[in-house]
Amino acid sequence: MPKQKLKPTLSVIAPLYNEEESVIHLHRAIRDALDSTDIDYEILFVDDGSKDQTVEVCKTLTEQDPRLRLIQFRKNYGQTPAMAAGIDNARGEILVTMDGDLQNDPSDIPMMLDKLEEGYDIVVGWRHNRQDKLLTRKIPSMIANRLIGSVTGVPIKDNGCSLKVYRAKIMQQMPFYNEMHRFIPALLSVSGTRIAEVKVKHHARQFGESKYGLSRIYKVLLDLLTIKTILSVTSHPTAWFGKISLIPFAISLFYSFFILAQVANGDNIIISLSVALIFLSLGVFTISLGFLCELIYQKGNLRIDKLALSTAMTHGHINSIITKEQQ
Amino acid sequence: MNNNISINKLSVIVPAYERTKDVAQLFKEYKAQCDKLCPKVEYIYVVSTEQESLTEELKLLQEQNKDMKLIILNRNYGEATAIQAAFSHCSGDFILTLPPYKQVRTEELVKLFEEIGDSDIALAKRWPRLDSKSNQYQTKIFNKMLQKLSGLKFDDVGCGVRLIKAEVLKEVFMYGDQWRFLPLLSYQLGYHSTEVELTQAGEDTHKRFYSPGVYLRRLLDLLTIIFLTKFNKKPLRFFGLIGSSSILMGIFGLLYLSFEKLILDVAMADRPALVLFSLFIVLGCQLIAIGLVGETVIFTHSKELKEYRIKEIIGQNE
Repeated sequence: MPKQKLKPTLSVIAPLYNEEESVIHLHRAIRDALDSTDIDYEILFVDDGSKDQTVEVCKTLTEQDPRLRLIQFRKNYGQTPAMAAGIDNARGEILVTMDGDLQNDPSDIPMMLDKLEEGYDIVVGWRHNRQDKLLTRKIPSMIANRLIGSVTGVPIKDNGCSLKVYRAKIMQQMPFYNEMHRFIPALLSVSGTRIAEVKVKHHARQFGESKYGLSRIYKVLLDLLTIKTILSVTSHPTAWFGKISLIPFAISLFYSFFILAQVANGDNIIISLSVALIFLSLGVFTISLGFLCELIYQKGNLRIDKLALSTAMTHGHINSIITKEQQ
Repeated sequence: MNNNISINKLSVIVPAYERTKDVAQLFKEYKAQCDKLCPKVEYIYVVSTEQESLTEELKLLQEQNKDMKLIILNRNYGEATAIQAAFSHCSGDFILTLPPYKQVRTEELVKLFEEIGDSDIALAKRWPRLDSKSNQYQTKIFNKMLQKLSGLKFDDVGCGVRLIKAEVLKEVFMYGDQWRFLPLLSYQLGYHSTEVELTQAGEDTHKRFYSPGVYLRRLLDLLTIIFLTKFNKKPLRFFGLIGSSSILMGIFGLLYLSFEKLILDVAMADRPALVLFSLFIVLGCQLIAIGLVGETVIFTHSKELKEYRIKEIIGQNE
């Protein structure tokens, strides 16, 4: 039986929610993929409040495999918190996150590790041969990925793929909450992280039900708006809100010309004047929120500059990163 | 005696926010029952200096009973704060909170201990009820609304009789009037509550009618708690929903006006409806912007908020 060292090189993190059937297969697949390499690894299963026998199955597995740990949640919190728990408790220098439902193939991990060694901080999987329904899954996700790419400026082809490899030092400092797992590359890009994308295998679900539906689109749209704001807040909140406020100001200005024309005609201007003033007030409101966000960011405890520095440190590339930040 | 759970020490907390006729008599009744439930019991009363005569009575009572502690706050901060103040001064592994007037028959308190089982909180549900139908309807309406909004089923969150594991109160942060929402707030942290039916006491049956202001405050409390428990890490989901519906209404209105202008040739520039729909759009934008500010607050504090609570880590103990 392999003995567990205190600090393994690699931590494999998989959230589980009602996966009593797949967990044994998942465990075996991870072992098969990594035992052939000489990497010293640990496995972290995070039970996200499963209602079935997942915990019992995992417990017997932990007795057989000393490299396996199970983090059991008190209730169901969702996929991102489950991954966050795994990341917070991981002991490895390199972290791998993956789905708990066998849709990702652990045999891709060694290849992704090689890619990481080429000098990247995060390697994300791209399910290029995706085994999902076209209309309800593939097309919405394609649109979502395009949108995310153009809004965040980080063109990743498959943001929804859970199979990702990161450097622990960077990931453990990264804010990670809500349903943000979709936006990790975008979030990480703030600190000058280098991101690579590689093709990975994808299997159709073998057991259980798919856990996501179409209603995600609305949520993704809102999340996207959040990400855009957050990303701009970390660099220049007043500029971002100032930019948005141009829209209501423009409407207001347009109406002002309209009012002038009305005055020339001798029409009643009261309605147009009200509309112009309403949009003017919205512009002022939006700008002032920019100042509010400056204040919030300044008083908060998240320092993107520190994150950027630690990213730079992992490479010994401090100079290049700093110039990148200044651009 | 309790046969399901083992309690080393029980802390009984009574927030004396409301007057009862005979404080000493009620304490005696409570004590008679609680002393039977656990060999080691401490009693903590919390009162505010705003209730002068009550404070004096309790001081007197405290001198006569060595197992009773009295905490005097210099302002009435609400039940939840009172209980948290008391909790920081108690040492039991289980906490029994009791209201300052009799809500349930004290002889039945033992049922809480019998039926708590694996749960972390046992909530008393006043049943059967002896009070007027109007009182019962008020309870029913409030709890039904709570159920609809939160998705958690509780029938009587207004009852102050609760048996709680000490670890729950260590983690849950409540203030003001949030005491009634303890089961919801603690559910968020992964603690489970069960309701136990206790017969309502005769003293609890007076007709309750409050001023409209009180009902309004209840309603706001309800919305606050839903916001805090369901959207606490995603404020934009909350504001975005209201905001985008407001914007949609505005846009549809404007489209209709444009339709009238272009097809039916009704002049648009002098119609008050234009102002109304513009206001809808502006309101929607403002709500969404507030949601974004909320998201910024969460993001800049994201390293200190932990979204999950771990029950146990199995394997590889160092």
